[in-house]
Amino acid sequence: MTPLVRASLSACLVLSLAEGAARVGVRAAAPHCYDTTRNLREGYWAQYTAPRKRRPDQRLIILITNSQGRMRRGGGLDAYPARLQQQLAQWDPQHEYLLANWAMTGGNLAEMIVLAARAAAHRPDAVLLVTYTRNFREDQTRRTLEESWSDVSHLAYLPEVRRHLSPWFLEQFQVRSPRGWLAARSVLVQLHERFVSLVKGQTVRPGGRPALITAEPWTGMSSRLLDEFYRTFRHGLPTTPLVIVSMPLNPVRFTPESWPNILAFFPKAQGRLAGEPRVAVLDATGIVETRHFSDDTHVGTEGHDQFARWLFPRVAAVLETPS
Amino acid sequence: MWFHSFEFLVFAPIVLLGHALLNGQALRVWLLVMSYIFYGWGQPWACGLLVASSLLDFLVTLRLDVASSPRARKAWLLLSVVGNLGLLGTFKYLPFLARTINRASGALGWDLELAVPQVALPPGISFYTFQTMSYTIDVYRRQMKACRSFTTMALFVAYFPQLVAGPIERATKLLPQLVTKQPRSAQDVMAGISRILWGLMKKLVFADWLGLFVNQVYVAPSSASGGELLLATYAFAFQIYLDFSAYSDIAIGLGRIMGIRITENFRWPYLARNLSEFWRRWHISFSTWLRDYLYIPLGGSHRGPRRTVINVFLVMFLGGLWHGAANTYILWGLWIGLGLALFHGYATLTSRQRSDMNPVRWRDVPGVLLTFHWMLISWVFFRSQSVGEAFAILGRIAQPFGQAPTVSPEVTMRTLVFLIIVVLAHLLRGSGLGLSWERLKSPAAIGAFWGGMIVCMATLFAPEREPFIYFQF
Repeated sequence: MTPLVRASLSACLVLSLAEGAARVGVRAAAPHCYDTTRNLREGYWAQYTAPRKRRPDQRLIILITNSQGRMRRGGGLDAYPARLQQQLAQWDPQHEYLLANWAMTGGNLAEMIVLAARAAAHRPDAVLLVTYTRNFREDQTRRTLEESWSDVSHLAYLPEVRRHLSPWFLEQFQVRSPRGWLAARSVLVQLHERFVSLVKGQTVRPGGRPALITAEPWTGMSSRLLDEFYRTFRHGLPTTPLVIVSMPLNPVRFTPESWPNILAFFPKAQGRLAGEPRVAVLDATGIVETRHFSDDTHVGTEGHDQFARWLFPRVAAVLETPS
Repeated sequence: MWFHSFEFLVFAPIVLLGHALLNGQALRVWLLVMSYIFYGWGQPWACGLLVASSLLDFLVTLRLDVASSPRARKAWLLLSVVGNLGLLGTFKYLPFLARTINRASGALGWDLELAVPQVALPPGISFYTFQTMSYTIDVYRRQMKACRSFTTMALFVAYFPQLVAGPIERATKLLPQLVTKQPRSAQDVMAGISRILWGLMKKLVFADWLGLFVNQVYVAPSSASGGELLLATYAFAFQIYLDFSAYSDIAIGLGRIMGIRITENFRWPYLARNLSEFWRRWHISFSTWLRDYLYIPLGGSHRGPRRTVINVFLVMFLGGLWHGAANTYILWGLWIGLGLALFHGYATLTSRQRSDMNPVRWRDVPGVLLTFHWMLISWVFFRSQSVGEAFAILGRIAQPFGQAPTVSPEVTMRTLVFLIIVVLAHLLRGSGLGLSWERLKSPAAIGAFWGGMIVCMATLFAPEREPFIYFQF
C-alpha cells in the first residue's frame, strides 16, 4: 500500500470514529419521538423521527404542530400531547398509546409538509395537524426550506421522505442543496448546526412586549399549501385518519382588523376537505380563555389541560373508526 | 473562484488529475487554461487584463534581453513600469484620485467637479502586477534571462494557487519550476494536503468566527462600547493574520502537491520583538519585494539616518497605498513607517543588532507586546471606513469601560474563547513549545491529522462564509 493510500484510510477511520461517537452521543442526548419526554426536542429530527418497530398492542398518533405543542416552562409531561396520551391510555387499557409530539418552535407549513411525508414510514394510527392561518400565509413560499428554524429540512433529503414530496414542493422550497443532503446523513454536520445555534447569539435588542400581529388574509396560495399538505399526507398514508385542528388562539395577540383573517382557516379547511374520506376538521380557536395563556401566544398549564380534555373525545372517535 | 467554495472542491481534483497525467507543453497549457478559468470565474473580463499584463512584460523582456545600450534598456524597463502601473492606476487609483482632487479643490473654493470613474477592481491586480514587474526588473538587472515561451511566462503570472492573494513570487524562483514538471514524492503530496487542510481550518473556523464579531462591531462603531471596540480590534488583528496566512497555506499546499515550492509568507508575526522583525515575519513576499525593488534602490539605510527615515516613510507610504486607494491605508503605512523609523533610531543609538528568528524568551516579552500593540493601532486604520472614524474608534478604545454593551454576552464570550485559543496556539507553536503537525512522519498519523481537521471544520465552521480579506487588493 502506498503511503498516500495509508494516510487516506487513516483519515477515513478517524472520520468514521468521530461520526460514530457523535451518533452515540446524540442518541443519548436526544430521545426518540416514541419516548416519553414529549416536548424537549429542538433538533436532530433525522434521528428523532427515524422509524422504529412497534409492538402490535402499541397505537401511534403523530402530532404535527408548532411551539404550542410544547410547554415553555416545566416538563413535557404537562403539555397537551402528553395529557392526551394519558387520557387515551385510561380510555383503552388494551393498547399502549404513543403520542409522537412533532412540535417545532416557529414551525412553518413547509416543515409540516415534510413531517407529513415523514409520517408515512411510521404507519401511524392517526395524524393530528394543529395549526392556524398564519402557517398558510403567502410569504412562506418566498423562503427556502433551509431557512426554517428547525432541522426538519434535512428530512426532505432522505429517500423515504422525498418520494412523497411533489416536484412543485421541491422546486418551490429549493430542496436541492448538497449540504442539506450531507446534513441528513451525517451527525457531525448536524452537530455543527447545534454548535452554531448555541454560540451565534443575537445582537441585544430593546426588550418589551412584542407588537401585535397583523394576520394576512387567506389567499389562493394558502389553499395551494393546504392542498399540498393533504396531497403529501395521502401519498404516504392513503387510509390513515387525519385530524386537522384550528389551534387555540389568544385574541389579544392580534390586531382587531386581522382577527377575521385568523378565523378564516377553519371554514376554508372545512370547505376544501369536505367529502375527503377519514378527515376531520375541528375548530379549537376559542376554547382556551385569555387568562389561561402563559404569554401572548402559548397556552399555560391550565390551557394545555383544557385543550387535551377538548381533544380527547374527538381523537378517540377517530381511532374507533376502523382504518 | 474562492478556495473555500464548492466549485473549488470540484475544480482542484480536475486540475491535479490533469497535472498527474500531462507533461511538457501540454501540462503548461493545461495549467494556464485552468488558471484562467480559476481567475475568470464570475468575472471573465478580468482575464483580459491578465493577458495584457503578461504580453507586455513578455515582449519587453525579450527586447531587454537583446538590447545592449543602457538607454534602450532603461526605455524598455520604463515602458513596462509605466504600462503595469498604468493598469494598476486606472483600475485601482483613478476613482480615488478623482475624489481627492474634487475634495481638495472644494476646500480651496475652486469646485472642480471631475467625473469619478466607476471601475470594478479586478481581483489580485496588485499581486500579479508586482509579480510581473519584479520579473522585468530582474531581467533588466540581468539576474535572469528572459523567458522565450509565452505560455510559460503567462503561466508564471497566472499560476492559480498564488494568483489572487500571493505570495508574490519571484521569477527567479517560480519560472524554472514551471518549465518542466517537478518531481514530487508521496511525502510532498501528503504535506501539501495537510497544509491545505490546515489553511482551510484557520480560515473557516477561526478567521470567519472572529470576523463575525468584528463585522458586527465595526459596521456601526459609533454605537459600540469602548470595550467592544477593543475586543473587536484584537479580534481583527488575529482575523486578518489567520485569514491571510490561511490563503498562503492553501497556495503553498497546492503548489507542493504539484511539486512546486512556493515562498513562505508568514512566520508567527505576532511574536516579533520589533517592527523590523515583524516585517520579516509578516507578508514576507511583499516586504522583501519592497526591500529589493524600492528600499534598497532608494539607498536603504546606507545614506545616513535622515535618508533612512525618508526611505522608510516613502516605502511604507507606498506599501499602504498598494493595499488600497484610501486615506486609511496611507495612514496605516505611515503609522508603521513611524514605528520603523523610531526603531531604527533606537537601534542606532543602542547599537542593537538585528534580531534573529530564534524562539521568544522571557526577556523579549516587552518588545513583543510593544510591537503587537503598535500593529494593533495600525489595524484600526486598516479596518475603519475613514480616517475620522479610525480616530473616533481609538478615542473610544481609550475609555473601554462604563458603556452599555451592544452585542449579546454569548457572542462576546464566543469571541473571547476563539481569541484565547488562537493566542495560545500562536504562543505555543511560534515558541516551538506546542505540537506541530509538520513533524508528523508516518502516513497513519498524517491521515489522522487530516481526519481531525475535517471533523473540526465540519462541526465548527462559521455559518457565514467571508471572502479572503486580501482578495480586495
